[in-house]
Amino acid sequence: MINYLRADLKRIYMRIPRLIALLVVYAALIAMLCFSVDEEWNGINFVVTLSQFSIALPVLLGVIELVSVYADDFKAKTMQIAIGIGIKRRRVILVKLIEMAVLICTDLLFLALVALIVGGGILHAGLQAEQYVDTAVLILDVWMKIVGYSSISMILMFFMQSTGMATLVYIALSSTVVYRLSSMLLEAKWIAPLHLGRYTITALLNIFHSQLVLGNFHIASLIGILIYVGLGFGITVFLFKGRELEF
Amino acid sequence: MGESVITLKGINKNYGKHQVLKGVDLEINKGDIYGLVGKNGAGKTTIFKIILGLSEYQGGTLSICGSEADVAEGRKKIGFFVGQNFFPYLSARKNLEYYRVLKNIKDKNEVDRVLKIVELDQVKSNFKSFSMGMRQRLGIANALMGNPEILILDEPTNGLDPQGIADVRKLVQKLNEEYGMTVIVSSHILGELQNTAHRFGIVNEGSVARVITQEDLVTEEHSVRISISDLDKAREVLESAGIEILGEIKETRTLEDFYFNLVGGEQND
Repeated sequence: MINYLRADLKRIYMRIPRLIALLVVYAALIAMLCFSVDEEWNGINFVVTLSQFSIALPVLLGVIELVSVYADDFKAKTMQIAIGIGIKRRRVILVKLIEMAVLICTDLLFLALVALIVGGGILHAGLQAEQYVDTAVLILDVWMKIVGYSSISMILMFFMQSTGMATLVYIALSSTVVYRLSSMLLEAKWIAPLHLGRYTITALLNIFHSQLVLGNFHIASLIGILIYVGLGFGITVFLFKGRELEF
Repeated sequence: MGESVITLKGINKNYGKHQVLKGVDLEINKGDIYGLVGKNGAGKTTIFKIILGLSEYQGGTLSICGSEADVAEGRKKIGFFVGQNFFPYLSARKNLEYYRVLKNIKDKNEVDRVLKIVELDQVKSNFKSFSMGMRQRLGIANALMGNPEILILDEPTNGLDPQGIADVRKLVQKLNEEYGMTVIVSSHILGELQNTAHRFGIVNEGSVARVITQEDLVTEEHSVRISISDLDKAREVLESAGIEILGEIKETRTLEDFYFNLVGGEQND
């Protein structure tokens, strides 16, 4: 399993179209930081700018990495080779889940580094310890969102063995379209008293983020998110178990 | 008969109500070159998929290298070529390097070794610019990595020119004779397979209809071809029983004869 992970990560890290796409994201961040500079430019403005930019990150980074992790694999059918040499199917799924988490983590760490060097260093935002913490919280929040949403879209990814529909579902989840629609449905008279809206993955992610920002973190929200990730994994294992794979 | 390395007993496979495999029995022995033949849709690829764990089956048992309980462990001893599983933007070497890591092969020279066997060691271009023959050879090189005990080749001569087909035949024989690999190969080109394999399983309508050996091909007399002096007079001569036989060529049965007798269809002259 570790070998599959190593081989895949090495391949993905060297993939040119992915690197170009990431460079565009980093360039957009640098441009946004530069445009935000005025006479009142300081650490708080830096965090505000980064926070605004981070709204787009789940969609941008998520799509880039979903395509990198799954599209080439489906095309080359390397998953079939992995299973054929004796790697169990649930481990193949776990590899892909870990790959997403690792890739997003490195993307975000590099993005934070770029932001701090450009915003704090070159543009002299005068960052205080508090702003470093805020930056870390933002990065963690985006990471949790991408991992959470991608673990749900993974169900379709493995079941359909194609990236198209699963990526669309991921976009619908990460752009909060699904959240808004589900909120409307859950506010219907007959179901509203159950307050189910607070248990949607986006609501849990938002609660998790707020708790981190306000410094009153509660483990329940994290457990809720982990249940969604576990459900995504479990359903994928169940559906993929008997799935016929083509040569 | 050698030790059995892959055994399928009474394997059934359904797609909904459609039964594609009906109690398949198959035994591959150590050191065999086993040819699996059958028309499209007969079930050859499904048999391979089941051996490799890419398809579930309903009923029957599968045993790899003597283990029925942990076939995943047995699969680690199998190298297989089932298509062109490569990244188009990577070179032959980088593609195989990917699989070397995936297969946990520690020896970094393994990629060079298998590329030499299939004569692709000098090629630098990316996979997307490869000819069909080169792609097939790279697929076989991938299957050879790690010196597997068993090699599964699904239609390795598909899309190859006569020279490419002959190269694959030589390669399969070399791997069996020099490296002691057990090879299971499927092909539509019966004449070619007849020159390569030791035993043949004819798959028809979801089961292995018959297993024949090279000995069967040689010893079973099929027909006698005679040359006669005058064709027009043949009937007269036959009637009077005074036939002048100028020559006699004994023909043995071919794999095609067995195949078409069982499966039906038209045989090419």
